[in-house]
Amino acid sequence: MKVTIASGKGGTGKTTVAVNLAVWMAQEGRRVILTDLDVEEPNSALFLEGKETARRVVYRRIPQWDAARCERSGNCAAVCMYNAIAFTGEEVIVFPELCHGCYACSDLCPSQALPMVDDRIGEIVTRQVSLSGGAGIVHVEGRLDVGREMPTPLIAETVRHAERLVREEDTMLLYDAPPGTSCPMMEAAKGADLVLLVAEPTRFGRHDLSLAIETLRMLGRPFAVVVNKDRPGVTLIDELCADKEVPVVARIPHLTEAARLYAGGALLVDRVPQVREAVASLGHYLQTWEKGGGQR
Amino acid sequence: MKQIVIISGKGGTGKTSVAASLAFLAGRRAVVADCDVDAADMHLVTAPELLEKKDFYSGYEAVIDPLACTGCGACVEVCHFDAIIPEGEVYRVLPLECEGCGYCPRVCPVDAITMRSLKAGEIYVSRTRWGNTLVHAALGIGSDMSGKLVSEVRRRAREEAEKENVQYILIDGSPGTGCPVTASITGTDYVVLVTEPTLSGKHDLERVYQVVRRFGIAAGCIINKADLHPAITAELERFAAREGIDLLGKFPYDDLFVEAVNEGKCVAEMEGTDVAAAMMEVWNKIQEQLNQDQKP
Repeated sequence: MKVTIASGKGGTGKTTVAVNLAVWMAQEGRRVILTDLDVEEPNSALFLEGKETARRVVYRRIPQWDAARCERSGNCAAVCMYNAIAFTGEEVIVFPELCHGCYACSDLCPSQALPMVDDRIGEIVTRQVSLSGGAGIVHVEGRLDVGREMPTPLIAETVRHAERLVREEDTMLLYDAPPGTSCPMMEAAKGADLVLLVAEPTRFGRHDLSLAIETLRMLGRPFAVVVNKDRPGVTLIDELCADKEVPVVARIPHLTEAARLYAGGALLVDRVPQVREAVASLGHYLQTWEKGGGQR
Repeated sequence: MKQIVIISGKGGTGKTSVAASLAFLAGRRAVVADCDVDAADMHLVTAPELLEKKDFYSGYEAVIDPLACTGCGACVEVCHFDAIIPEGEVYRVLPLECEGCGYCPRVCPVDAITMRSLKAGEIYVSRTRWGNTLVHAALGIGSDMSGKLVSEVRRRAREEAEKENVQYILIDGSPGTGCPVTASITGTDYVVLVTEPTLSGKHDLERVYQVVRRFGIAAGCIINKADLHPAITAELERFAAREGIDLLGKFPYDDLFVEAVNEGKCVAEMEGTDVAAAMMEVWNKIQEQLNQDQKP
């Protein structure tokens, strides 16, 4: 089963839910691959001590000008829809950050003067995480090089990488998504069997959750909401979810102690009983969801 | 006119609370730009009166005319985004996968493909309840144009600022390190980094600061929730000192931030509180730094 943990707003507890759910499931005896797709700011490894087992550099393909072959037709600049190529009459200049890798300039060049070459965008690191009691998690992290602006191709490649690591059919694939509602978040959610949206009960949280709900409706992925930093008597998220007919499937209470432990990188399921209880209820929800073949 | 951008790397550190507070304190001396277009929340605390609304078009998507298509498949061959699939005898474009590169219409032998311009979002100009002009936006669901929309919001804010002859433009930036962040900080005069003493907060601050440093822009930092983890707070302070980042202020881990948001206020409006007083000090320090720069 593939589950993406996402949120519209940043800092609502996506990573906390993803990491603690992964640990709880592994402790229950499930095979778990936890994949960090927040490639601009990957944080989940901070909570899991692991041994690196593989590190792979990820490239994308961009055009590189071959001045000797070039006949100065200017065709490349004319076909590029992204303004990623400038033609001065003498020279062709490629702007890698604007290039989407469509190959049009390269393929349509009359003199084959723009071959596509590798361009490093980031890395994928795989770790074996050992938990107390002998359980383990495979942790995969996509990490965009600082200064690179387009996370989506790396997210797509990290998903493919994680899925190639699946050996047993009952493996639980958990994806920690980037925040927001645009392309990177959608890339992380589009292949999921189920998306968990983590929301906090503030007006910011409610507004950003409603945007995330619209995005997932458009993607056509099933989803459910987890309330984090839940406060008694604050019903902002519940009202929105009732209105939009979205199930709230777990609530993690707002506890200063949990915030302190999180700050230092502790695993909350092992340290805070109320969090463990909430994560267990979420785990049970996923188990039921799976057994019902996706039917709630 | 000076441009000040507020960013955080990690979400949920209090970036928008700080941005809204600075907008309140600056009042009519500043035009405000909400560039966190994925999750634009500034309007929730500034309760703006809408003055102007405009559609923002950016990017394209390919559309195949099913009546003209002969099903030759030339388009599929050249598409590097797997965005074209067979449908009956002909082909169809998957709008979510299409990058709008314009390669396929160039190879279609019967000109069955056109490029349709896409609405990427809406841009609004409003007046906040404090009297400042606010330029904000809503990214179209599923659009991948957040960087472009950020640039457009900033261009529009600059126009307003020049018209009103204000001293400052305050920009609420986006989380992460990618394209929308770069678009938020490029060409600004001062970067305010809002961070928190958690392992994630520190990790994300260090990454996003690498981006800031490339631009060579002066920066100051605010440590929010400073008492949550004193040891990490000390590390953040050392990082700031080492990198020449001004320490603008430290805020305690305080429910006041959530209370303010849920009352539709910014923390600087919470009269008589320490946080409001500290926020005033932050604003004074930022102004001092900017005015210092003007001296030879």
